[in-house]
Amino acid sequence: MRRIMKLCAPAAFLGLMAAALVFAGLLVERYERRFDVTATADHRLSERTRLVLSELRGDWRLVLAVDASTLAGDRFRRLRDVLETFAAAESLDGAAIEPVVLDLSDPRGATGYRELIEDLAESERGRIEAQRERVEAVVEELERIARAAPRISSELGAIATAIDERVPSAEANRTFFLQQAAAVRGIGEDTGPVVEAVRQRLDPEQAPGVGSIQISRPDLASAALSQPTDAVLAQIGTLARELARFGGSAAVPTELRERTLVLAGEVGQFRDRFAQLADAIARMPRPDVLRIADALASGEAMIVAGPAGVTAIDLAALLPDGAALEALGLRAADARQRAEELIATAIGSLVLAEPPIVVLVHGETQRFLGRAPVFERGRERLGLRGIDVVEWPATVERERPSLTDFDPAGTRPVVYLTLAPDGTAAAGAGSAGAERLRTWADALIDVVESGDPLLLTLNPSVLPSFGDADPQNEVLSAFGLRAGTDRPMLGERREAGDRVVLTDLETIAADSNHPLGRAVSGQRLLLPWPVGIEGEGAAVVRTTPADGLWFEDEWLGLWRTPRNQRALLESPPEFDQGSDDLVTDSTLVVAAQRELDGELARLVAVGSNAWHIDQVVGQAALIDGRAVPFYPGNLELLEAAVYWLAGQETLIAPSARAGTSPTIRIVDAQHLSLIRWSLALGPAMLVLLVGLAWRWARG
Amino acid sequence: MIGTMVIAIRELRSFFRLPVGWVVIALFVLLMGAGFSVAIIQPGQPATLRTLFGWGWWMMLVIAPAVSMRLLSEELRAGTIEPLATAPLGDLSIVLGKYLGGVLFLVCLLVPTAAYPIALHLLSDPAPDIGPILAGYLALLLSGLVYLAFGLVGSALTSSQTLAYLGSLLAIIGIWLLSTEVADRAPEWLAPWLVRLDVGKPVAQLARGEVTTTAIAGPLLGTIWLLCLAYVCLGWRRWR
Repeated sequence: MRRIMKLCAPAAFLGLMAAALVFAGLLVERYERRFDVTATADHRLSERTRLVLSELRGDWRLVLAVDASTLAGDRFRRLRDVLETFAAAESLDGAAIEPVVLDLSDPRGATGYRELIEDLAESERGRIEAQRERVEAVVEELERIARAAPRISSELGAIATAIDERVPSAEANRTFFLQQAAAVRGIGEDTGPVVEAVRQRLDPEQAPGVGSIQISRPDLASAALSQPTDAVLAQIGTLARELARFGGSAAVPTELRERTLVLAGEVGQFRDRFAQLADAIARMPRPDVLRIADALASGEAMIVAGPAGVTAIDLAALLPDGAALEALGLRAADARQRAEELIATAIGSLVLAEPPIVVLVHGETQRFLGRAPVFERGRERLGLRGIDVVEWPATVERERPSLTDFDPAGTRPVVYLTLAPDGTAAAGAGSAGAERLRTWADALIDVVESGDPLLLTLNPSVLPSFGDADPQNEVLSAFGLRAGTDRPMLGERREAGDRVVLTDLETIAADSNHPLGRAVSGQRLLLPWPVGIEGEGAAVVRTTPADGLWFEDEWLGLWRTPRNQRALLESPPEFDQGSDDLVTDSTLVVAAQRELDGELARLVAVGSNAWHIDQVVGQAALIDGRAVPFYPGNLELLEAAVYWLAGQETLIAPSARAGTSPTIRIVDAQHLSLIRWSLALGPAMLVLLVGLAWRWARG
Repeated sequence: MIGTMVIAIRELRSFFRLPVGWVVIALFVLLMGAGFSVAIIQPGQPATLRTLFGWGWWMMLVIAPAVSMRLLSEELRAGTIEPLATAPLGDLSIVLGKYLGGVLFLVCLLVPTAAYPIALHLLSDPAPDIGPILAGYLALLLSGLVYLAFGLVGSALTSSQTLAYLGSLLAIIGIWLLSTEVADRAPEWLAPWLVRLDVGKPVAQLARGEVTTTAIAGPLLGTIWLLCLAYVCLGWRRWR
């Protein structure tokens, strides 16, 4: 018995200890605390997110409605992690965020989801009813036109018959009015089915509703009405114009003229009233609950709901799969920060100012946005803030692009961003570079003169060397600025004993009092072919004597040599004390503003052209599985400049992707070898020496 | 407590009494240094020690059981465990003292590697964050604590140092397989419990700079249980 006890006691002790330790482990797991000391700030909310959260008041819910069984475990865990980080944010001053996860594969989750939609639908009922009435007014007007159509058609037929040989081009006019009569008769006949389809969408009993909730859908009704409305407007618009023209012609007999003008007046009235009503529904913002209905229809969405409104984020955008991330140049670990940015933007869209629209003005001969990897990283970054990017190839399209699709109400600020054409390019298939530069600059001068905000990028230019004015400086001159585009800054470095001329300036932005300067302070930027800017305005980024740059006037050969062949140049540019000047303290990025007709006009000029293209901002290093950009300052500058130009300074704050990742300094091969050997052998040798000394001291 | 400290210091001194202690540290530092110089000192590349901590973890897996293999088995082989046990200390103080001695040696092993963060600080622009580096060292130390405890259990079970080393190394590999390969194929109710046995996962989490109380508590709680096991094994051997 004693032997058994002796054997059992240790086993029982170990069992008890195991149970106690497992229990302690479970407690620690349950009340886990996290301290983020990652180099990439994986588990901290960015300054921008904290800024957005500080604007919140009241209770907010981040509702994840998802079929959890279809979502990979790590993606789900990562998203829950982000939601919890939001809920625990310290910047929530007097507000609360509650993450709610509704698993649609679970009956309780499905019930919770339905209740949520019912709550939202109830809170929006008044707004939906108002919109239903507006759509109904258009439908009624359309019916009035349809009722009048047979009469107008027969009157057109009568006018056509009354046209005799005294009227110039009598046969052509007669044919036209007969065609118009047939077309107007068609309006009357086609309207019935359209009106019926629209009324079905307006009737709560017959409308698709939201999920299983019956509710009027003025958004779907107005969408169904859109094409017929445009067609009717075009038809009666043309008719009213032609009738007025025909009725106004002195060659037409008086009786026929008067008859035509009466009809023109009636059709014109129809046109004006209908155009007014149609425009009102085209600009009609969709009620929140209907806006999120599309996202919910996909079955998986995250809803952000609070006192300021409700919005939804498509889960595919929130947690893209590996292939989608790769297309964006990101890694799986980047998904967390992307999710944070999207949620912050969704919240911001409800509590902050309307996001600007960026118009990218370039001098290329064809469109490239969405087709070539030129500005896709920048567009993706701005898109995360809800900022839309529209392309304007100013050398082939003289008119500014229409922004109605992005901003039907015309209330969003518009910022113009540039990508300068190469003024030294030969004519080739299109127009010569200098010619495109001129056209591009003319478009920008128009932008500046109309007081629109402009983010101007600058290329070196050969025109001043030939005694011509650089069109880029004409754009700058409105703000009292001038760029040294004739003499870009070059630097040099020794690599394996060879002299290498540097055309790109890598710099870390210094502290500044300007909002733009604060946004990029301490961040690494890469500015290809930098040029200095002089004049009034706040300097955002400056050079330092330590950059070792000089202003070079014989740069064209280097400019025209492809980057990978520059090392083969026999006599690359070098500092010439006679003709070149050393760069001491030159401004590279400047923010300026002026009063124009009582309004504040703003301009940010960057003394580099390609600083925001994919080739530069896409350079990244893999740290902890994340693609951390080498030059995060470039996109931070872009984002901050857009906000500043849009007059939304309060939104400027470093994003989740800000923060310069430390990199090993460039050292020449000889020193590198010495450093490596010293570090490989030095500490080990030191240990052995200490060991010897220890043993000698101990005898 | 004083007894534990006395044993710990005596154990630490014994490591440095013979050249082999210094040579082990020098070899560890040499391998880490070679890796640091070749893989991390790459101009223009990220200045991070994460790769180095990954290697350090693997080296710790081999070195820590080697450090602890002699802690008790040497006493058992030489028969000095009996006089030690008759001293007014108790088995727990002996186990803790021996273990603490091993831990102090591991700390001595890591101290010379501080040259690498310093070098990184001097060679990178801007200077790297200290947070991930400290978390990486914490990860190395925690993995060392667990593997050292495995070695101590092996050492308490046999008087053969070789057997103790191989046994503890196999146990570590076995646990690792259990918590990864077996857990992947285990039933749903069992898999989460097996995954919790994985030392590498919390350590990797710490080395990433993601310091959580769970990641710290996991290896510590495992170490405490292994020390209890070593204590029981020692008592059982003496009783037998």
